[in-house]
Amino acid sequence: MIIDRFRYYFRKKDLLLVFIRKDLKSRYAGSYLGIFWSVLNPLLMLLTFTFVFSVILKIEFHAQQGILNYALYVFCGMLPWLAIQESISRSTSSLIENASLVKQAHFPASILPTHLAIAGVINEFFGLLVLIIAVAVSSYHLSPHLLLLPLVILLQIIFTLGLCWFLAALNVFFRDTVPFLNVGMMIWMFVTPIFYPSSTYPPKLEFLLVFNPLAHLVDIYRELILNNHWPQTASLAGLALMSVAVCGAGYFLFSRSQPRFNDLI
Amino acid sequence: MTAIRVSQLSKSYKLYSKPYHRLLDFLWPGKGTYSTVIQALKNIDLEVEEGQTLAVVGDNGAGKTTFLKLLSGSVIPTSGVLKIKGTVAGILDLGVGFHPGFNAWENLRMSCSIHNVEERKIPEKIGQIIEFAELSPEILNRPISTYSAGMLMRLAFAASINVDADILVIDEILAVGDQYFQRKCIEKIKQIVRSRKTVVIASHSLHLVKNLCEKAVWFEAGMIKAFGPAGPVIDSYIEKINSRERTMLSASAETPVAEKPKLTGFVEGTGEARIQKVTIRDRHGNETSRFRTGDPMIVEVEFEAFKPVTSPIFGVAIHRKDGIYCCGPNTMYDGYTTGVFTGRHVFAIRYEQVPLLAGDYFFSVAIYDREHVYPFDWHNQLYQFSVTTDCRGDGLVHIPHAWTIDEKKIG
Repeated sequence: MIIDRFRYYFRKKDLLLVFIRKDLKSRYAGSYLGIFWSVLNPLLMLLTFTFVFSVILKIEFHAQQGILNYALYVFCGMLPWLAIQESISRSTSSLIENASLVKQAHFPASILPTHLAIAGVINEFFGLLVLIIAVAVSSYHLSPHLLLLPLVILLQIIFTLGLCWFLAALNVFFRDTVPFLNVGMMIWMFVTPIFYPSSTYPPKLEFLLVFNPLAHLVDIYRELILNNHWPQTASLAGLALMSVAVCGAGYFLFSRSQPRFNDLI
Repeated sequence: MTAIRVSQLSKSYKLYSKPYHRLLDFLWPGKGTYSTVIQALKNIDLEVEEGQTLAVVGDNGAGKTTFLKLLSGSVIPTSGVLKIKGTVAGILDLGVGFHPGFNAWENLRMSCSIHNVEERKIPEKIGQIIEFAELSPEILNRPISTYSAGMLMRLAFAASINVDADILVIDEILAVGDQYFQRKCIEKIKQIVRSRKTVVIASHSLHLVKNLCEKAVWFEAGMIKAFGPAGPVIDSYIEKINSRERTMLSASAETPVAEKPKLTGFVEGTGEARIQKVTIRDRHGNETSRFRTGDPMIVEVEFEAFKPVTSPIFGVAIHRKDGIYCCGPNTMYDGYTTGVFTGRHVFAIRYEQVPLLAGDYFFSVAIYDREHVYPFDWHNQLYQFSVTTDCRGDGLVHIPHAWTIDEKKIG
């Protein structure tokens, strides 16, 4: 069962850590700044957003829509999206790229997508750090609402894990998953209110928000970090429900198809 | 206790002409035929007792590797029963089980974790593995994608023997690695065998596995051709190979000299006389290609001289399979004077005692002109024979000997 899977990871946390550490290290392997890039990257992104949106485009949103600084607003939405997108697209090909490991008996193949899902979130922490400091500096006061963030990130991990397992297994049978995913990710990004507030959605299409876990996730991030609000319970419940469902589906497909991997990779 | 029990075990692979057939077949199994089935193993039955050593022999594609993969659990059986008592570690494909981007330390850490080595014992284990592999610290810190096949082999072998599995599965141990390390591996395997661990070895080094293993299984076309004590099973497999080689050689003897394919050896000569037939016989005059160290051996050569040749020199040489020149007497060196020959004749050489140790060898047979300058006909390393032995020892030959050990101190 899925609980056993998590228990296994807990028992083998050292193995999982070897993979995660290696992955985080390898991102900037050979560069002079090394791990600093993890902070520098989101910082430069935020500066670029600020320059483009506030200096060039001079975008102004109404305060009642909850946007006080558009650059921060977009940045806050981008962070979870980038983490999820990166984890998913790397996980999808992870089994095939690591055929030599998957083919070994007893190798827990699920560790490949799993460590990528977790590494993606860890990498996001640096961006969150930049964001929270920027929010504090631009005189928004930091609130106790941030204390709910770990729970939200936990849900995000559960959701990402499910998607990563699902797509990694699917790609073994169906190598067209990668190109499909590239298009799908682009559509998903624009359907999700990352660059615009969810209140601008036409009422007819609101189901796209309700059934999009990422839309809930982005909203909750903004409520907690930018707006000092508790998120709507419905939003939180929806996210939790969908995350668990996705995780279950991913686990199901992965564990069902795992015995076949060796013949197919 | 039975360590490995296999009954009616089969493994087939499906080949799909279209990628999505694979998905359809997975989603709705049995609905329609989307695939061609390749039967790799068919209805295998065998049992290996705990502490036994099993040799797996057979031609390429006979199912040896599939069998080992099934044992190690890296592929699952299509049907049948496979019961294994304990854990299995193995060296199957080189590099399988290693992450190419990780360095040696990280990979070994991973191997230990996968094989459930206790957390607190891992550093000690890694130390043992590194010590056995004898790779320099500088190499160990490099990602293993930069390793040569030999280096990878050292690491893989060291890791799999040190993770304390109950059953060790090894595919073609001698395929890579330098001679020093090969010897070290063989010594280690002997040691493991003595420690009553269950070991399964697939190899083409037949004499090696024959000495190493108690039991052997011979696979042919996915089925068991023979299973039982290693000696007889491997001997009959060797005989099968030899008879096939003889057929191949006699077929090639029909073709003109210039077109003869260069197999193990070759044929060359000016053609005044031609070797027609070479027969290897034992002490009773029976034709054979298998001898034991110390046996007498007779090589009989029929030849035909197409015009009179005066005082030709007859020679017979022995090479070991790996090319080592063992000996090469001829009638000139031995002080024989031959006469004038026309038509068909026979010459023979008799070895009173073959001192060669176990291995595969080739005879070369030649007829030279009287000055020993050019051959009329020369069959270089064309006739194979094999030697088995009761003598323990390494090297090429058994030289009868005795030891004296004086217990008195000198001076």
